[in-house]
Amino acid sequence: MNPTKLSVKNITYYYDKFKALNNMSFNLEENQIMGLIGRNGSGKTTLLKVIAHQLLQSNGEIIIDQKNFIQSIDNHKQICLARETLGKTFEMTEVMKLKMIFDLAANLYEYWDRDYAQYLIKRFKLGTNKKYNKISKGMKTTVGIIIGLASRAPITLFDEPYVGLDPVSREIFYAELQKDYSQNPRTFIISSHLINELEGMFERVLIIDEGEIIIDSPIDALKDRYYLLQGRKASIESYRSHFKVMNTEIIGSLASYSIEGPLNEQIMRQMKTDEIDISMISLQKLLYYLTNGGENNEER
Amino acid sequence: MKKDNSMKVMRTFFIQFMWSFMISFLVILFFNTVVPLFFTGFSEFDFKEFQITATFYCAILIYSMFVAFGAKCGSVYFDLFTIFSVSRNRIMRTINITNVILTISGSAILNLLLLMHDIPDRGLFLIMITLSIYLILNFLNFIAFLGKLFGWYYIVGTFVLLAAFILFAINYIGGFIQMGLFMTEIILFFTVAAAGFFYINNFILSKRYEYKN
Repeated sequence: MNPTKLSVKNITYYYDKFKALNNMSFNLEENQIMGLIGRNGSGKTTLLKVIAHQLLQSNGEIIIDQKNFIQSIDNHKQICLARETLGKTFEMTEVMKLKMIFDLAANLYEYWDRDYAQYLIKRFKLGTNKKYNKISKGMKTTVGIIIGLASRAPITLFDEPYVGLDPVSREIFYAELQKDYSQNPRTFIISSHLINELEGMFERVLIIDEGEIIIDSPIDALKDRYYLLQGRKASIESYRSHFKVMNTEIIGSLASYSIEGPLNEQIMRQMKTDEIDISMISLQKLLYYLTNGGENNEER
Repeated sequence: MKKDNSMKVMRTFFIQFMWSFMISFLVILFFNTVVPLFFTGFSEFDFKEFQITATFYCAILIYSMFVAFGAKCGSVYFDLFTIFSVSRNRIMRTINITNVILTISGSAILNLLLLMHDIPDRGLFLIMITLSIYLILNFLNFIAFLGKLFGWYYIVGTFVLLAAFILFAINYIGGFIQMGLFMTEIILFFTVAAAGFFYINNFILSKRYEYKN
């Protein structure tokens, strides 16, 4: 498998007059799992579809392995977008059985692993003789998951790969994703709302809102930038000049502050001496505060 | 490295599509040739007549099958390839090769059928039929793209009007062909129109189409 690097450069996309993506740029090194996080309508699916060349950007470039996606005739071999549905074309085709869909995928994806696909079909207990337009929503998501994993595409994109899935199937997916990633490292972008379930897998995170990137950072760097401080309100307030407050929750004399740092070692030691507990803010809370979801959003 | 399989996928689609047409062909043939024998008696069976009818229906069905498949290429199959992130250039290359194969096969079948009749200027007919099939396929791709880009209701309406115009004009065009008039002009028109649709499909419409579902 060739090492792959994805560069998204100044991508803008319009739905008629509505700007869904606004001059978006980021780079993704090979063999990383990136979480794509944002609220409904923030542009996650649009971004993934632009990367997968299903939508055509108004401006900007998608570069894979230093090659422009549109100019290179064979770049599709590098990319697989797995969604909760394959779309109207498959929904409306009466005769499209799951077996045919997997055969189609086997022919079109360069690195398709037939044995692994068969293994996943059994693991998810999917009957391949069923017609695609007759199966449940969860099973359609499973079809997408199997295509995404078995494609072994150097850049695999999952768009909300849990829609309609029961908790057992979700756990199977997470386990298989981790196992496959450790055995066959490649680049994954996973858009998700179930942040708490997937947070542990992400090595990098891209938070977007209203078509713009708010955060593009390795997950470790976020730990050094955003904190949750819990302790006496007066104690925390005494360090007020060292950070920006994103959100506060006050119960009597105790307070919980969600802040943006960074905090240096010395300040953190002092805080601990003042009985202030310092922990990491969960991605879900971070998304909540950064997208103006918090009611007490003080400085944003 | 695996070689590109887009053509292989297209072949699979064609074979699936062909089966439904073949079944229709056999059913129609059965009703038009065998069923009447139940009323007139099987002693009336004339193999030569059966052969002519079977060949005639086969030619018509194959011709309609090619045309329908050509229309499906630009609409359904283009979408299917796009879902799997196949580049527009690769899809169009596959569709173009398919169009050429369908044209050559369609023209060969029709011209072989015409061998049963005494026709002057066979060469001219060969050229006309080949060009007309190629034009129809590119035109259908064009209509499919317009439908996908601007909405099917609008396009179906326009297409019906256009079809009415073609039916109106076909008597004249057919007459000209029969009498051997304006042959150069008609061939030139077919060539230019096919080239025009080819250009618009490959370099304008396919580059604008997005899979939004």
